[in-house]
Amino acid sequence: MAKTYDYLFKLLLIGDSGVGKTCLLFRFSEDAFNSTFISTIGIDFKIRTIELDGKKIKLQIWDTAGQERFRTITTAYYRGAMGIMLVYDITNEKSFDNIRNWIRNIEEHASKDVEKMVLGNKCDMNDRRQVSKERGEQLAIEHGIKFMETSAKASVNVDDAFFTLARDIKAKMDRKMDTPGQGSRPSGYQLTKKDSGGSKKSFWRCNLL
Amino acid sequence: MQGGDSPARAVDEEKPGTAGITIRAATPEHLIQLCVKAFTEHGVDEQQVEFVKVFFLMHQWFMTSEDLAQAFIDLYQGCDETVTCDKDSYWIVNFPVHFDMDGRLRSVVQNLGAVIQSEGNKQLRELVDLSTVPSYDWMRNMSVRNPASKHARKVSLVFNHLEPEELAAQLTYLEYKAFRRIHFVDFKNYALTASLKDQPKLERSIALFNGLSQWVQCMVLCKTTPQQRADVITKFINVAQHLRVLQNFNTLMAIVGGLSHSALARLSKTIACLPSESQKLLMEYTELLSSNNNFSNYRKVYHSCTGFKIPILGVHLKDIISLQTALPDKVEGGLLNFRKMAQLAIILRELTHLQGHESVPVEANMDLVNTLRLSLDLHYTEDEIYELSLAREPRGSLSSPTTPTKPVVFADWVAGVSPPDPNTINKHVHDMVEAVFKNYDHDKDGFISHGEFEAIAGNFPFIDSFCVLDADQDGMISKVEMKTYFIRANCHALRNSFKHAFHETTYFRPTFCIHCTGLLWGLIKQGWKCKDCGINAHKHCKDLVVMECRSKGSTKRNESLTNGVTVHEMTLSAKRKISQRQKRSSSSPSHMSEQSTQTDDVTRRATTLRDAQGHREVTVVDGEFYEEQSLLYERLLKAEEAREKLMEENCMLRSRLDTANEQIVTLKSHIGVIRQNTIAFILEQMDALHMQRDTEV
Repeated sequence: MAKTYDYLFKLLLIGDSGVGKTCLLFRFSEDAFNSTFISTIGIDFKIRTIELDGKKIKLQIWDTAGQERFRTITTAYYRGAMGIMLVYDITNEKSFDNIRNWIRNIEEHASKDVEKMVLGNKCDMNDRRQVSKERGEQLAIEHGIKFMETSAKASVNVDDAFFTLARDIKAKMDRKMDTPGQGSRPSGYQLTKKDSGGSKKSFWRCNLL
Repeated sequence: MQGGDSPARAVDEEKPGTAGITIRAATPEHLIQLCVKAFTEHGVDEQQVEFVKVFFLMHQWFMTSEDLAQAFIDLYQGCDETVTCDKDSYWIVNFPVHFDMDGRLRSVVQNLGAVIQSEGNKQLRELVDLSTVPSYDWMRNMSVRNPASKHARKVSLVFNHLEPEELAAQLTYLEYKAFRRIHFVDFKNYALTASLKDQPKLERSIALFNGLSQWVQCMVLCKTTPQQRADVITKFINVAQHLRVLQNFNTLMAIVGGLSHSALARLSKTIACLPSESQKLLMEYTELLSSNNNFSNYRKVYHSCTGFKIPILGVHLKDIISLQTALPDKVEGGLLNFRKMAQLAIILRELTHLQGHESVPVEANMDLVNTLRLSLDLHYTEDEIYELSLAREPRGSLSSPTTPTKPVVFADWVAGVSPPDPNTINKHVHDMVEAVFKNYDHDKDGFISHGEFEAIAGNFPFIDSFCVLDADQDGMISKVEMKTYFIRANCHALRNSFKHAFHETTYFRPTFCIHCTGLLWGLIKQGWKCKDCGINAHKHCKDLVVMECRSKGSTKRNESLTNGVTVHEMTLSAKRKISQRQKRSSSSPSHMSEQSTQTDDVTRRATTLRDAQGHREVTVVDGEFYEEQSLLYERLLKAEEAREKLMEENCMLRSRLDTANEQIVTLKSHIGVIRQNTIAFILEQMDALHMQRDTEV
């Protein structure tokens, strides 16, 4: 059977309850969303296929909505995740403080080379802002990961964020393929021969936004 | 069907997503009218049964029950009386919980009753009679004591002797009690606000879940050898087996989640000791509960189960939240999205249906339940548990030996689930202690002995030793002593017990750092001392101290700690350090007692302190090594005791010698005097003799 994509990435949305992870997810994959609830399937993770450097990348996005407080359930999601979006709410200081805890959690449970990104969501609600953009940037720099402010409601930077994360995962994967010695194919996610001419942007995107 | 007025009041479903629901969106008023129309003289219109059910179940999502009843009453004035009362009657019979839980709704309906009565229609009056509504007391209160099982079977309260089946049954009882109290409105509020604020029932259920996972981890980690740990894991897997039979998926998830948590999963030596059968079972359950394809394995099994079952609350909460986020509340210009209500109703109907099970297949043993409940209240942070796991089986020696000890952050982050309030804890402690005494105080004298205590202590990982509990040291533990201990232990866990109140201090005698064991250098302000527990540390070490803060002066108990009664409480690393120190400073024995006083405070958790010279981290090796170490250490202690005794004797003898010498000196001087006197006397006599002779001559 012919595959309709070249890569399959599993992404995970993590953060405190109520920061708008599910909103982000539905905003990003709106078209693919089938709103009917079937109790034996539930509302599943969302899939959206994007194109990067001429390659079709299938993004499978997992959401932990409402389960953040059940700690052992949440950790079950980390397995096999290749990219993790850490989401906080700019109108909620506590959710920002907890990002550090989530990062530690990821270090403990997820695989070592998982690609991470921090999102400050609800940036449309500037009047109720509690966390400045600078602090978000600072936190991202501390942990060496990228940062963006998004708004699921106003559809600001949502696509951009997922594209950036996907690009980074792809770049990391391509690098791995290039390096001999570590040559074992990384868990077989790449389905066609890669084209190493791809753009590898690793500059600080947050400064541009 | 379009509503008659403009703008449209309702939109119908083109192809119904949910069986029996034909309406997609409408104004609330229109929905009420539809509901009224569904009632005919013969009861509910068959076509509309589904709609009516969903409507009554879900109405609290968009309006209060009070408003709904009022709307019915308004319609009652002037339209078909019987039909209105039929609806109320239907409502009362099918959703009695709404009437018992909502006082205002009650009064509205009672008013209706009064109106009908004044018109003299008895038959109608009976239809809206509320006196038959069963009581939902158990739902209203946070905790209601079940009057069940007065003649409880005699079961062991001790984890080691507890049958897995019994444990599974009692956990299911606790779980079901917590689950059935969660009200429709709790689910709704959680979906809307994503916060547990003002939702103590839901919070309690989640806390139970997390507490159980942690308890599982702690029970395993408190054992010292891999084989012992494997035995505990095997036991929990057996418990899981029974939970699966009971169809209690929530508790199953908590236990399997706890077992597969990285703090346990990384213990390769322990896992190697597991029988293959248990390993297979654990794999099977992990697979069953895996998040793959949105928990598809679980969902399949769950739906094939009939009768009593407890769902994984987290999964169904996620469904509710996903629907809430995915579907808009209002569609088509302000109409209520009834399709959303119909879909939410599928989940909520299921949940509320399960809450109503009257026949719970487990028999509660309140004593056991009370004991368990307290075990589950004890709070540890993820870090503390992970730390302990590292201490039990350190990371492979090759991996990252250079990483310095990370400052451990003991944040109060239970992800929004706050620990139970002191009152609840006090109550739980009270119940537990009563239960323990009822079962273990065999002679009913209000005390338990050492042996009785040892048996019960196994349920509470990291409980202090008998000596510490026995505050007045009379060899027996009274109820009061036990209660004080547990309440203190809990308060302890609640406020961050790892935060020390350090302040800069000048020491007048050589003092050593608790963390690196090096000397605190300098003339003044050599180091930092904790106000509460009195430990000392370098400025740069004080944030790295991984020792619990046990406040000193507050209780007698701690004196007994520093008296060295509980020397075996000390961590092994501390022991090792002492022995190192003894080698180094054996020439100055006067320091010894002071040092051991300092290190006595060390708790079991402080296992990764660093070596004195700032070498690499002293990571503690495995159990066998521990045991050998502790054996050696005991011998060392004995030798030291003997030496001290000898020293004392020596001192005594010396002082005796001194007094004897003094006596000798005095005696000597006496002798001198006597001698002189004698000589003088002799000379006198001789003189006298000489004189006699001279006169004779």
